[in-house]
Amino acid sequence: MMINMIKKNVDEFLSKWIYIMIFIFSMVGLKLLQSAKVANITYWEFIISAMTNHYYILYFMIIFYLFSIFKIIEDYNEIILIRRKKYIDYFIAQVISLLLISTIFVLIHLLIVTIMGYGLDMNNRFIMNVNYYNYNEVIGAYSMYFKSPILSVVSITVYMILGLTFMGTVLMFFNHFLGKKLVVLCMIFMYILMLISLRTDVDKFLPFLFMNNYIILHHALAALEKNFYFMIISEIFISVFMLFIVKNFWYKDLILRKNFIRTNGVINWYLKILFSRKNIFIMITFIIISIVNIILRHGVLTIYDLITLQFYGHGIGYFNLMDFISLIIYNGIPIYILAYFLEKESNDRSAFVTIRLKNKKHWFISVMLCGCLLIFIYVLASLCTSVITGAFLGMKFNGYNYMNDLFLKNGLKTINPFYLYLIILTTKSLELFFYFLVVVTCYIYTKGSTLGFLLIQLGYFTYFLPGNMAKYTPMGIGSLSRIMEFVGNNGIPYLFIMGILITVNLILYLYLQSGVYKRIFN
Amino acid sequence: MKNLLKLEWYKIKYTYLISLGISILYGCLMILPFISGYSYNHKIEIWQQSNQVFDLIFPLFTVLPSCWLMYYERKNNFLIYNLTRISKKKYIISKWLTTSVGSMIIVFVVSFAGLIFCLKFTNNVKLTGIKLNSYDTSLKEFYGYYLANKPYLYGLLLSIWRSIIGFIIGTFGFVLSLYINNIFIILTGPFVYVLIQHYILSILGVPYYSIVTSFDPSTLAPIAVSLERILIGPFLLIIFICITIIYFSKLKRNSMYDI
Repeated sequence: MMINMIKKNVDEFLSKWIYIMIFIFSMVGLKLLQSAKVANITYWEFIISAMTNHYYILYFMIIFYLFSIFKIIEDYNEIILIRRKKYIDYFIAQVISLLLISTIFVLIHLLIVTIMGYGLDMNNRFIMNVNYYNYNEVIGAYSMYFKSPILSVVSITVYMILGLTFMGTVLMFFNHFLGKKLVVLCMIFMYILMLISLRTDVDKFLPFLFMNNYIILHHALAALEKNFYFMIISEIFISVFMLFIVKNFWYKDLILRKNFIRTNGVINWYLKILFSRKNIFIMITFIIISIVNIILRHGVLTIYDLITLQFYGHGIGYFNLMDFISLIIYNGIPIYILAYFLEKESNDRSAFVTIRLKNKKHWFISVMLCGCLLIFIYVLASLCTSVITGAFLGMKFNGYNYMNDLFLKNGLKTINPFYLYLIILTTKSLELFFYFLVVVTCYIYTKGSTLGFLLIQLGYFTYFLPGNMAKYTPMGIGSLSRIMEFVGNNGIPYLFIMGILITVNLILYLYLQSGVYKRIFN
Repeated sequence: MKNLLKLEWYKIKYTYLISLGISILYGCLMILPFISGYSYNHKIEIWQQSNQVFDLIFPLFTVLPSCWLMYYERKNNFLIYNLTRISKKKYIISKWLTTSVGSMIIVFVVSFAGLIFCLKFTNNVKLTGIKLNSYDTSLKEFYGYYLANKPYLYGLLLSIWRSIIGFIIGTFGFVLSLYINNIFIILTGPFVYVLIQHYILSILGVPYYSIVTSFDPSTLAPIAVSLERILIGPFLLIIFICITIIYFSKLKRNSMYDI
């Protein structure tokens, strides 16, 4: 029974796609072989260089592996499940088939390179060609830790097989407890973490979080040096832990997402309109465009530079069309989406929906909650996107580079990153929330959101007021270029800004809450 | 046709006249904040400087007074009611002409009224630019000779050119109002289009192709602006309008009769 199941899984894996993988790996191998012939390295060193090419592994091999095992992972064949006495038996059979698949998968790679490298020097030693090691420092790293190349080839292969199996098992574990949709998210998250770890040195702090350290041996060597066996220990430890959980709690359902927000009444419908694929796509696209804009316009940046510049906005006392437009667009996107949402809500809200509201206040609270959520997620998403994009482009995590001059020029201290995050999250969210409240107020009076949106756009004219007055207007006040901590005397202190924003928001909110919102039902 | 145009005019008369009044006021008042704080060579440059804001928001002036009409006629089924009486093509064309010509006139009025106000009523502005730079910098600008020597002709030609762009933007708003069921998008669509187009083209490094530059060539350095480049912005917009029409009528098969 168990053997049949494993056979079925392996058969599924050995589809026609495997030829594509063989073809692509042969191309990679040929390219490496050329440089190996020029550098005159040995047969075994060539195998190491081919088996540890981490660009191939990360950009193709792992993706291919994930795609081919995904069907096996998410497969919930009840007929098979019924015939096992215990769930854990089924799980272990799956793990064994994953192990077998990974073994076949890695051995195919090994086979290709062993055939390809035929004709190179067969000596089992590291030739210590310094020029080539400079070009391909991986072999140099292996020559430091292993006595002979054959030993390192064997350990690389075994390590990779174990790592791939481990990755599959973790995903299967998540699939069992969290469901298919969340597993796909986990996969994407895992993959992004791997790419970040390839590009930066963050994995030195916590190597156990990054899956590539379990799969690629020299990443583990780079992160933990001589103690790389910790990775294997943690692998075994986590696997045993997972098996234990599956054995004892296999019947439990861990789906918590329904309890995050009390989703009663219309709020479900609102959230569905607001967080549609189109809206999320629009938000992410514009965030990425603004980041690209910053990167293209400036030189060498660190991550904190990028974040600061992204939220820098436009200050008082000068006029730069490009900065001004970026500010309007960055602030405008969530407000546009929310205004569109309100307009759609007023078009689509029929008497049937109104009847099902428990009371009028329920409508108001739902709208406010949805608006808050969208704005906060927007600001958070732009922060995260900057960090991720920065990490991809190899930016450093320490200090400022570009902003330092500005800080020095204004005679200010540099700002602690956590304080920076705090300032951005609070001021920007509150500023956007103020705009949202303005739109809602106009919506309640005119039953359309156009006027509110236009009022906000016209509100940016306050930038043309005399400097002393313009400083204190809430339009664009969330820009870092209006905060004293960043620009000196041209701005006003952070706490003062918070004071202004909180007062304005509270006044509008209390005004709306006092019963004005009931007009919408007239 | 003549009667149809007349009919359309009666429908939007009051809002349109009010908007026209507001736009004349805007055109004149916007000159005032720019009188001091800058150094000018000629009086016309005050007007040029004050247009910075109008460059971004002119789509609102063109769309707001008239584009709501089609939306409401679709919404209260007036359009279907009309089908049995007038040919559909004629009706829509007359509506399009009213909307777009209306937007055209508004843009022209804002632009030209501002110019006249600026040249007639700002006599006590000190023109310090020539002294500071020891030569007339405005001669270097796009068609600088006319800017310096024949301000009325320059302003008139520029205003006419702007009104043509206003006509195209009005058409865009009208096309949106034909197919989209959300008044918010109809009224803000052209404005958002202009902003985003300028933003993206600036990022791509070709700000001279954007419609903001065509509308006001003085936003960029004179070297970057030429007559051919100015024509590209409206051309892109016309292509975009065609794509919108094809998308809604052929691909999505939105009918303009139900909402």
